[in-house]
Amino acid sequence: MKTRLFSVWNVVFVLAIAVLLLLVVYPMFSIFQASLVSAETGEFTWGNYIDVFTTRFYRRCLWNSVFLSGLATVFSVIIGVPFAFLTTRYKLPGASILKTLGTLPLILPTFIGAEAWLLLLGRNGILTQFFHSFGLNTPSIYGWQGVVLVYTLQFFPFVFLMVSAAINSVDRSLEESARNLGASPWRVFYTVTLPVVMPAIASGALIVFCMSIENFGVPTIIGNDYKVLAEQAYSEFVSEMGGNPSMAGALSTVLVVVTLLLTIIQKVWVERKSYAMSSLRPPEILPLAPWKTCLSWLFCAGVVFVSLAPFLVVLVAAVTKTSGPVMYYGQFSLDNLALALHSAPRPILNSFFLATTATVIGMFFGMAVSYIVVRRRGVCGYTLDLVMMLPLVIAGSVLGIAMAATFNEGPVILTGTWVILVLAYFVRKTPFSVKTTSALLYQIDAAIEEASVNLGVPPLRSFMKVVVPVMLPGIISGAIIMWVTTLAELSSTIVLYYGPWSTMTVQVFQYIGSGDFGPASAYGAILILSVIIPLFLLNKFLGRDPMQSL
Amino acid sequence: MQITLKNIVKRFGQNTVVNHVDLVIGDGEFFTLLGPSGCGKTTLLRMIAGFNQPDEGDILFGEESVLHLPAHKRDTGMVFQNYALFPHMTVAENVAYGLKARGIKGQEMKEKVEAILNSVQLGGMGSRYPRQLSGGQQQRVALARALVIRPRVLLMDEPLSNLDAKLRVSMREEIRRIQQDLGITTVYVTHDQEEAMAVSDRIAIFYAGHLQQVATPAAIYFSPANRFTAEFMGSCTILETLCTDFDAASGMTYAETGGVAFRFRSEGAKAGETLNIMLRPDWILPAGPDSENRFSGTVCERMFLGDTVVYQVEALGRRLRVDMPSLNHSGMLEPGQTVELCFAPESPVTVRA
Repeated sequence: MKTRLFSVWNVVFVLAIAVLLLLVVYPMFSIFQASLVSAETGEFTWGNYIDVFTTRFYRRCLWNSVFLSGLATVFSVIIGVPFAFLTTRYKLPGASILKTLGTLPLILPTFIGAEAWLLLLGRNGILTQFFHSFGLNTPSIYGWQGVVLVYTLQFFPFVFLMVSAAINSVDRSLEESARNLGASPWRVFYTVTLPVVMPAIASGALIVFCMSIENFGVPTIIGNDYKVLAEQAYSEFVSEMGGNPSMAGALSTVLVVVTLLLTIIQKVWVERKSYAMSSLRPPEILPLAPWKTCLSWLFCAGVVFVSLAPFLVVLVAAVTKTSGPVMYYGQFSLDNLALALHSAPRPILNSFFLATTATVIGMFFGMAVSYIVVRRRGVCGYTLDLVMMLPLVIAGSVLGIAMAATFNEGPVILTGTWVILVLAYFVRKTPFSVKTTSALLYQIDAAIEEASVNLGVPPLRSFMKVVVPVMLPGIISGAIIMWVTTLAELSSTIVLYYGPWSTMTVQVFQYIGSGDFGPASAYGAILILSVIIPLFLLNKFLGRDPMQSL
Repeated sequence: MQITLKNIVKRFGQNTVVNHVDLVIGDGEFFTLLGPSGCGKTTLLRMIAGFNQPDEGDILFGEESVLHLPAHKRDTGMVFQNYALFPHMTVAENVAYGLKARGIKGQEMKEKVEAILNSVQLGGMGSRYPRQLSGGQQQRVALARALVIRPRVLLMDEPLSNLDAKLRVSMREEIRRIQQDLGITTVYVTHDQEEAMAVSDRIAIFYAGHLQQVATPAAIYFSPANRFTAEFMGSCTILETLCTDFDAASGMTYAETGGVAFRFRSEGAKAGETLNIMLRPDWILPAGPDSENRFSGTVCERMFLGDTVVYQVEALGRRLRVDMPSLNHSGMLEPGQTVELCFAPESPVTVRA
């Protein structure tokens, strides 16, 4: 039976590796190759890389990227860690709602967050106007401050989620034994609790850094002259005059190398120091003194409010009378929604179609990959896991550039078709499906499959009858995460879409660019609702918070 | 169904986990593979089930080789260490699973499920889910699920290791009873020697991939084949003695250790040879004035176990374990006390190798 089962999974393994090599590794290799070619002479050169590190402008972009991401990471840790401890370890009124709302910013599109802050603090922003009427000036949202603000508010949940999971995975007995050996509560905290959750803080911080450095929309919308790598690579690639694909390749490669290096360092460090135990008794939830409860609650609720309220402004703006960048708050109007839903509904349908197609493919692919990764450890599983997670360190705009450049020629031309959008989404989002599914699969005793085979059911049918049903909640939440994050995907879309295949995200982005905040908010509002409703349903009917498993 | 293992070898990489094993398990026999963890016993069981293929050798059910049969066609019923119940199915669905795979459905299936659940004392629990059951009940479901298909062979992989001590004892009695009722050939894997003795017709002792001894529990206890089996099956003391003389007419050996001369039965000993003799703790007795093989010692520790008292006694230049029945509250020896001990010339077993 061994040989038979293995031949089925061998075929799946080879197919999966082939697909990933073709869609990820090969395009990335091609742009790396292109970056080593001089744009003028067509000969081999390191010149593009020398330019990145010596030309003042490019060096500035590199520094800006690292600076923004670093700052956003620091602030996310400063907010995320206390948020995790307060909501997980202490009795706060409405702690579970705070936790659910606290994860929400993750799933909301960042460029809509940027738009929302423009609506609040931009040149015509509500708050700007409001303070102006008292003769007060508000701090500018444009430039690096605004970008860091948006990143922090949207990415701190990564730190919060990782840390709160780590807190719950430490058995109560650990702290109790420290107390028993004579340590004071504070001593227990910084000698036992904190070191144990440290790897989780590091993992969360790394994700924030990667998400920030790869982000394309936020710096483009509110960064103004503050250029970053992800944005510049895109400009070099699409610029009609003086575009330089080799330079785009070099910038992309530098960006990928930075994230890859950090990921490797983090992985080596975390793997040496991981203390997760199969916790039976998670730590006790302690009550706090009334004034402490009050302060803690204000902090947590404040964070949630500041990170989510801007999105409400977008919802309001969608039904407000507008003319270009000028908003007439208080004057209700359905014009913008009518434009989005009635006159130009194609982008909405495109988004739904592309996201659904990519999700369906990714779901089956992710299921097979998770199974191989979890059940067939060893070299095969490890390799597949590594290649599967590779897209996580590749910025969306970089992957878009790589795919567009690669599938522009050869036997099958995909650039300029909707297929390439689906493939890019599939590559970028399937890791989520693999993560949720394999997290569940790790908890399933491998013996249940053997028990089924032993009772006379052939291996593949055993897989369908006993493994798939148990994995189902993981598969469904993975699919929903894939779907909603694909709907919200801007960075690869902006590179790969063409005329009729514009999506909601592209519409929002372009309307913001032209200063038409009304239509931008209409598409934005529809996008926000399309993302939140499935998550709400999932939470309600499956009783699962899908973000917890990421 | 008789099971024959012929010259089985299994390697994982450089590691030979099962090394040239030959075994014949009789029809209806309750056969136990006993050994410390990592000795290869579970691998051997999984080869019978078809989850691992031997690198060399053959496995026969009756006269037929089963090596070519994939696991789902071997018709064995296996009880897994952590039960491996399907978490998304009820107890009845779990039990019916193997029946459905065999095309048995409808009323017949229902009756069989009900009957087997009754026989493992789970009547009326069919609609519960595994997570709603206690460890002992889950164990019974696993057993019922394996038995209901009337397999040719019942395979059990440390089935009781997740239960508490008291439940382990009552479950092993129940397993033995059901096995006897059905007369089904059973291969049982455990590392618990007491459990093995309690349930088995015969035991195979495994160590480092090799078979050490195959025999009935009593035969292994009273005449272990080697030092490993002697020490693994129950406690014992092994005395290293120097043979001074052997009397072929009476079969008696004369030997000495720690400056004391002994006389005991040991076939074929030669003067000048070193003889390792094994004594079970209850074979060493308090000595009377005329006792043979008499030696003195000092009690250094005492442990009261209810029906027995276990003493550690310093004697013959080493420590010995001596078990004595506890007769009454005041009749126990005190640590520090000197005792005179002896053993019967017929008691010791010479352990070679």
